[in-house]
Amino acid sequence: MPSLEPQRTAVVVVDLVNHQCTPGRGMLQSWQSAGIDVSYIVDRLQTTTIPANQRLLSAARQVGAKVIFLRVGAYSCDYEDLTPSFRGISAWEPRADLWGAQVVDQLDVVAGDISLIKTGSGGFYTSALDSHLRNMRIEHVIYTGVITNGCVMLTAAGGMDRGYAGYLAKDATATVTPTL
Amino acid sequence: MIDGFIATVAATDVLIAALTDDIELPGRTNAAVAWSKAF
Repeated sequence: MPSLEPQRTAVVVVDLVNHQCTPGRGMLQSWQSAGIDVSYIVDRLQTTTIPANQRLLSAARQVGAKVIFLRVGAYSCDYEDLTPSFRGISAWEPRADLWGAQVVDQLDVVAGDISLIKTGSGGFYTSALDSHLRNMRIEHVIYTGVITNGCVMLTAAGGMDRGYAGYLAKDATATVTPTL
Repeated sequence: MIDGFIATVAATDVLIAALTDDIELPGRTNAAVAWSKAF
């Protein structure tokens, strides 16, 4: 039997969406404006993180594991449903129906995948992730995405508290520096 | 702090292999030890 039983495993892809990953837009533009060097994360996303996610998602679907995309953003046109500390990102137009909150083009979202808006950082607290995982009797959760020390970590921590066995696919994540 | 406490940290290709084969994944560290090491 595989170490991770596919029928009990889900891959949770955190925030690999346009407003988080597109150079010159959204989060990366905001960091640049604040004087933060984004060259590392831009390169990491293109050369490492996204290719690793492509391999993992393809393999997961092939063996019948679930794929869940979390997309940080709002449903409400005025962004009032975002966690208060996240309302500042409304300038990036991270709305469920707009370009910013869509999964990046390099990753396919296919029939059977689950794609959820999360209105804050940790996916278990700010989306219906837990309900979907429990309904599917998932026990093992592989986490990927951005940023490693932010939404990915808080999502993984939420999963730990709820009894899921968590796995971080380290090269399928990214953040602003290699040390984080 | 993530590694071994919040989650097992492994390379993507290792996790892909774990979905198809019975391989040994890195062990989960005792939570108290991992927490202590984080500070």
